[in-house]
Amino acid sequence: MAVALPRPAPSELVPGVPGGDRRLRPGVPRVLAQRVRPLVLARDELLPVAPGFAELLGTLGLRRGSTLAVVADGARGTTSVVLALLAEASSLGAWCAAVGLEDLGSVAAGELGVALDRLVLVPRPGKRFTTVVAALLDGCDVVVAAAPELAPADRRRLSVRARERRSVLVVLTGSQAAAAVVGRPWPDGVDIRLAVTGGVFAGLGAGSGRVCSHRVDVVATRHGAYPREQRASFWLPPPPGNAPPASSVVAKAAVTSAGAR
Amino acid sequence: MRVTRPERTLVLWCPDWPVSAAGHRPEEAVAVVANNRVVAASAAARRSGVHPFQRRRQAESCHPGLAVLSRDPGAEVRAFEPVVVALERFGALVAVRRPGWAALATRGPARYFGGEESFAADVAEAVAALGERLGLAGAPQSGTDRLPFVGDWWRLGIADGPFAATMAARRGCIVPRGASRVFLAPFAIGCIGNAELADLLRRLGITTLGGFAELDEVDVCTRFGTEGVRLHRLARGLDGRSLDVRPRRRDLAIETLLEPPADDVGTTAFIARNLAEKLCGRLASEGLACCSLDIKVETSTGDRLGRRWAHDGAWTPALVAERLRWQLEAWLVGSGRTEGGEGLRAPAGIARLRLVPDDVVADTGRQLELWGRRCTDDERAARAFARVQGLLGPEAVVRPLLVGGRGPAERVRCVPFGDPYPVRFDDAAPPWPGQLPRPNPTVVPKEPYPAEVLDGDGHKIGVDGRGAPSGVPATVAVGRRPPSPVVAWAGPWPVDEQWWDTAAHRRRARFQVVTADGDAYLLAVNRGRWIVEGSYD
Repeated sequence: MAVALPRPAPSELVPGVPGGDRRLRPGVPRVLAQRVRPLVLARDELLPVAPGFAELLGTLGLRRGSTLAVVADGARGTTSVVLALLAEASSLGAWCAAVGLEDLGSVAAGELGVALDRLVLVPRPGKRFTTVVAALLDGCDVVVAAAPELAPADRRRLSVRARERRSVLVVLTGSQAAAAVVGRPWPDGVDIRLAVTGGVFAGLGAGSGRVCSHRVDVVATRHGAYPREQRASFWLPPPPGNAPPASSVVAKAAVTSAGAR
Repeated sequence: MRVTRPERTLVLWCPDWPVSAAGHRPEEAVAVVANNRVVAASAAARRSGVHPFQRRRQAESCHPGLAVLSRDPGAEVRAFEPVVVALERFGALVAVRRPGWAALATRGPARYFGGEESFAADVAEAVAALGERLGLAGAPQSGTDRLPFVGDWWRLGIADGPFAATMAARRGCIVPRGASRVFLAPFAIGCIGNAELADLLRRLGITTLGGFAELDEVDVCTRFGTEGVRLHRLARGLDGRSLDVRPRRRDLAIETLLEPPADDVGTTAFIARNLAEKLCGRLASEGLACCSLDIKVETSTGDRLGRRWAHDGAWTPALVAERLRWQLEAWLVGSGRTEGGEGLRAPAGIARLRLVPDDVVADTGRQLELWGRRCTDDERAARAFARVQGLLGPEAVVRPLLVGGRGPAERVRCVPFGDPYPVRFDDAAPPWPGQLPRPNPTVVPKEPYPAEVLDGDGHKIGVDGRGAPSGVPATVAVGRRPPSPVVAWAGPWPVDEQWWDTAAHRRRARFQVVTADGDAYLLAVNRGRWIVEGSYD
């Protein structure tokens, strides 16, 4: 069994740099360092995400075993945010499952970078939502669940299951893809809560153009990280060249404010 | 096509097996009929003009007093079994293509029995003795006596490959190695086994196999394709097909009766474990692996339930037991399920349990990747999905597959997990003119719901035959929600699909709309009816 070592700071966890995560504080003898080296490398415990999200999450990826909540806070865009969050891990071979998202647009998922051959949909879990999500947490790396109203005990059980099985549970509320499911955000027990507070559709004019990209403003509330709140905006899908789309007309939709609805 | 040297093959052919199988001797006038046509006739009947494909009435008029039997394929197979068993005494690999035709690779056995001549003589003796025992042999006839390998109900032949050997069996002779082409040359082209090609060749002036064999292989390939080349090789005596070995007689299914019927999860789990070990042991002892497993259950009330479980061919007792337990649990506990209704009714227990391995293949072992990691991940995921399929049914867990189409809904097909998932679907490649450009809506309702689009004066907006809208959209009401002002829009993008098919013809004009609420929709209008095809969420 591995001996618990102080967790290295995120700056030391550079994936791709050999030994980047094995750096130890000076003063530990080499022989001892080799004996107490953790068996599970920290980078194995992270599912990669797109660079913008890394800043938002405060880690370089989705930490295995964590529970995230993605909620709509007066604006559209939760579905895109979740898909963009999965994209990097999925394209590197992680299995993703989406439960209860009956109307998910798979073409859009592919366009946002999700590998469709690694995506599995359970559109109608019905009354067995908890059992299904628990079973999927056993085998998938990421499970996106459009949550119906669940008892606190069930919510806790699912979070614990995710932690135990080293997979990531993403609870999605306020997505239009979840038909007829009246969900309420999970108030407690989530490690990171991503709230979509505003958004703008670019590229569409008065009778001309087309929807080119969707800017979403996301506020992350992180449990046990500093600063507790972090804001970021994304263009989804990212316009070519990473610049905001140069469009003459930008349809300003919802103001960046919580509780617009 | 894989080109291999044809294998020396012995073929035992029973010309009128349906007649022999019905227990009639060749000298009795008998015809076997299916769908009102003669499929086989005894030698006596054939002498008076009865022949296959003849109508029943004509056959009866050819030979007054003809006994007409209807065909029984099951009985033919059963009756052929002793013949196959007799052949199996001479060599292990007996291939049966249909009742009345069996082949045996002769290389090993011929050496053991001291040459092909004496081997064939031994087989002939055994078959003749069997015929006498079963009462199939008739009175010896003049003419056939002189041939050593021809009985009154069977014929033997040895040649290179099954095709040439079948022809050799017609003559009852042994064709030396390499002489098959010369031997086959005089046979009529109709023997080739493809009526369409034979007919065409006859009209081209080629009437014998020899004539066909003289054609250049490249020309044959150009004109007749792969199937033509295969038949051309047959005609040249190069039958490279290996014998398809006779299916195993041993039944791999496992069954158990539960007395009293089991109705709780604990008992079934115990039974599941035992059965799983038995099944895996049986498969392993045969050196086999199965790719899917049918679980069949009979309840105490007489209901029958079944479900098929797929796996990549490495069932271990633990895996089988796990799935069995899940499935039984789902049936026992899931009786309260509303959808589908395939649960057990409350008081029923499981009375009989049957495991049938299917898609049985030789167990070649399994190769993990170098680090083993990815493969085990896939396996773990597949198990989780299989478990959910056990709970909700196989159709409930799907993988999206991109196919061709223009709208976002048409471009996705859902494939149940476990079904073959093509890496890339050719239809999805361009061109699809009029396809919705990126990005597609992230929400695509399964059932498009209605919308109402009004212009500034409150009139409904339509699109005329030339694709021009009747006004500028001012408000959009989606579903039952109140109307919301439009801040940006684009369209119409008319699509006229499958106009050649009246039933599938679909004509619509698409719009993109952003409302003041911050919602973006993909709308479509057809004959004044607006629907929401997708929304950007």
